[in-house]
Amino acid sequence: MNHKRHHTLIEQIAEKIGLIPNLHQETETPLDRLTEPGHLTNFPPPEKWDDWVEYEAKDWPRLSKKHYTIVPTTCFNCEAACGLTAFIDKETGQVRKFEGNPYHPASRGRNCAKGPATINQITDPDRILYPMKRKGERGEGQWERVSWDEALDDIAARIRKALLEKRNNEVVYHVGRPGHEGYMDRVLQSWNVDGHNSHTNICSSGARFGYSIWYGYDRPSPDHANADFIFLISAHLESGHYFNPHAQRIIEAKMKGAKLAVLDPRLSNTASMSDYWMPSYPGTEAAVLLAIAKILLDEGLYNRAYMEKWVNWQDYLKKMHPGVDVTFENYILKMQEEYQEFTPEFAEKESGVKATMIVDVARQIGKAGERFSTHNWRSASSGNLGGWAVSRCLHFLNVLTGSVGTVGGTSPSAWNKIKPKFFDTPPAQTFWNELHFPKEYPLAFFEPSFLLPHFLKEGRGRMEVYFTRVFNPVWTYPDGFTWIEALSSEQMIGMHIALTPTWNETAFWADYVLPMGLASERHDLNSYETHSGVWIAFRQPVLREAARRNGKPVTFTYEANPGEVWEEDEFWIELSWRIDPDGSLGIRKHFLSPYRPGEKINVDEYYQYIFENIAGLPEAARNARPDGTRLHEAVWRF
Amino acid sequence: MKRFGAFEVETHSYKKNEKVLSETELDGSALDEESGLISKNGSAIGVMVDGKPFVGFPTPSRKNEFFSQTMIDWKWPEYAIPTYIKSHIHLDHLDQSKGEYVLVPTFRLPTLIHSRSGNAKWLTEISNRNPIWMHPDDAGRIGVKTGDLLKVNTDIGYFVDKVWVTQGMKPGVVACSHHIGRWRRQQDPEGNRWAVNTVSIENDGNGGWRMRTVRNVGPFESKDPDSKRIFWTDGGVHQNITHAVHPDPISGMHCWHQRVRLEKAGLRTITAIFSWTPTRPTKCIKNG
Repeated sequence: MNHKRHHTLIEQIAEKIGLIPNLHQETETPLDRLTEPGHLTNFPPPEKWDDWVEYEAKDWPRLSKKHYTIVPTTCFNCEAACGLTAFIDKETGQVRKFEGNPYHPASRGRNCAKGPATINQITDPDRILYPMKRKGERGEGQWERVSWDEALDDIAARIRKALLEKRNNEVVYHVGRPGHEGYMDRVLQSWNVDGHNSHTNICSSGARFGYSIWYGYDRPSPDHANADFIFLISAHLESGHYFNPHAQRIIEAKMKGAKLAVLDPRLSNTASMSDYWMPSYPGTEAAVLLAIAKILLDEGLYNRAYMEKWVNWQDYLKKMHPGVDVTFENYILKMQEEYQEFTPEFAEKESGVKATMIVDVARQIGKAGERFSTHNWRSASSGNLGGWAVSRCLHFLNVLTGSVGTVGGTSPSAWNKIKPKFFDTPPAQTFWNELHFPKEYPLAFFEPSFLLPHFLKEGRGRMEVYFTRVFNPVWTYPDGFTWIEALSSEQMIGMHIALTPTWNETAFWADYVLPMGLASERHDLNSYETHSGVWIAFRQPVLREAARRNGKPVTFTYEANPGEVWEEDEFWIELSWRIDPDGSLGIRKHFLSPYRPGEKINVDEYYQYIFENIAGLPEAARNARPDGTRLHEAVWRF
Repeated sequence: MKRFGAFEVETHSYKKNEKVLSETELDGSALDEESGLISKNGSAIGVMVDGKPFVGFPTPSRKNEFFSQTMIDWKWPEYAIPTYIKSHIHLDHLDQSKGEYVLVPTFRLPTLIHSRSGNAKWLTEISNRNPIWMHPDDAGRIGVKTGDLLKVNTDIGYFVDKVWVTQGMKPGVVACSHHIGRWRRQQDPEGNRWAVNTVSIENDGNGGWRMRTVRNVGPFESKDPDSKRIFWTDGGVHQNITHAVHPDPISGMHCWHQRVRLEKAGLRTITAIFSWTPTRPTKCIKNG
């Protein structure tokens, strides 16, 4: 192929008078095309990832070559953990850009705007690079730089004292966006504290409860790609849990002829792409869903074979209608009675959605049968008193159509997730913290954490050491001023440690602000129910991996990170050792290497153990040729 | 994993409830003939369906529970089967003649992630304001047009935000996106300056709080030349801080939707805007 560029007269003159760089300086061999002209390749082929060469866009029109190491990791700018590839400039050792990872089974190389924007976050001029300790009163705004040793020793001593004095319930870790959830559960169990608090009750508890009461799993996993009818009470073409993996599969189904219905009072991007926009009044979604259920029942559009086997209808008849013969026909009859008021006209009166549209959608759902995928995560279930009834009524439609766990239907989340096996599992903690699970909410699904500062103000307890991580309740939670009141009080909160890469409204009221790595600067494990299938992805600090490939491996991630930015995984190992320096508290033994007896575990070993115990992974890795090309063939199946 | 970053463990995962229990799993188990429930060591491990011992679902009946004994046991018999529960913002609870509406404060933008993306300049450039979405009929009733200021009164206070009049909103419902309206006080360290307004916060010591914006988002000097090119100024309004907590008695979920009373922003606010002081009309008040 001829790559020689012919320079225009204007270019040649501009070159001569020095307005542009010398175009004739390029004497190296031009880069080979990856494909024939007229064709495009989306991603560099994996055998070239160790030394990927492309032209420097900013040097145009001069053709200067840049050499990159391409290291995969995962995005942290929502919960989906889509694949990213970091292009690390071999000359400067810095990440130049992030693109998608074609070998990630959920995102398949595609990303939303938030993935590539990771580069902004790691180069943000305002990011925190060193541990900071407050000066003056908490919240006063005065800070000084301290060493990690000083911070770790101070925090560890506080925790150790609390544990020795049996104040285990005063040690709390409060996380906004968790990643590898099992990691922290293991750490907190090893400390014997009931110290995990989450953000789930401002997020998804409502939906979770509605699903859980049906089938013991707390999330849906729709197989959108194979559905004939897709029903969303969410905006999954644009936002929400796993929206990028979901959106590409929803569109895939639509291209094959699937219909999409969206229940939302707002014309979201998703609603604008739907076949049926059902702008329901907020909180009336369950009325619409039950009207659909009634039509499926009245018109015989339900899946008898599935329901007869997989619904506890006998219990229902025996308990609610004693004396009635326990037959499936009677079950249908009784349900028709239960829901007789939910006519399409009643649903229209409640929701404002036209009765004719409800009937039309119900019949389409009946026709789709087992190929009916649904989703509700936050939205209606999170907005409303009784919001959990929305996901409950939505799953009812999947049960009626027999589309639970089918091709094109909706599976429980846990079927599409993997639980890692740890090298060590400490015994369950022996404490119960009522600041997290108060007695007034016996069925609360996860901790009603937005009540925490209110409980503290009521004097129900206190916290000696309070970690916040990826967590900004002053801003995100309702009634942030009450959070400020609680965070300002050393009586209520002895020490507040904010683990964060960047300043936020909550960190302003911390005692320590400890900088933690962004997406590409730390380890994590991801496995989410994005589609039918099970996958695991590895978030890794890309500069650490680049250093390894470059023959200069580092022991700790902070050695590869900018400034003194740590990663959480190493922080918790180090802190746990310092809480129990002589091993007498029984904590340290849970942080020993499974490969080097008696030694402190390192992060590589931690993940090595997990990966060695994932079905099929060691075999796939063994089958890989030294350059790794066959490994991708093994892992890359759709 | 270091090389490719991901591994597919299963390509498809369907009908896992129909996994047949193994001989080992069944060893020592007992079958309840009437319900088909298979138990071992006091807990259900599966269910007999069509003569086969399936693992089923992790529920007491190992099936989908249309009927929930759990809800009855915890004294909510009215919720034993799927039901419709009228929300706290149901129209029965709103007086529209007094300007009461439901505020949907939760919707997410495709380009931002909660309060974690104020450090991403490209994302902030795309999304940097969070007006109140309102249907033209409602805007007409209240007497506001796009860009006008609206006072949104919640259970415990109020905030003031601009209006965006759009047919993309259901009449009677207003919405305001999540993510935007970040702030720091003047004494706080600089951070996320692409997205952060500088505010003053006053506390009356009696549970009353007031927040005002004293400086908008604007260009700043840094090692990144783009920081001098910031052209947006809005920075948005922090709404959640004016929301009361609403726990659902069963799920424990905070019920985000707000019953709000909407009115055109009052004289004091208008004065503040048109006085051309740097004061922005962002106010949040919380009473006790």
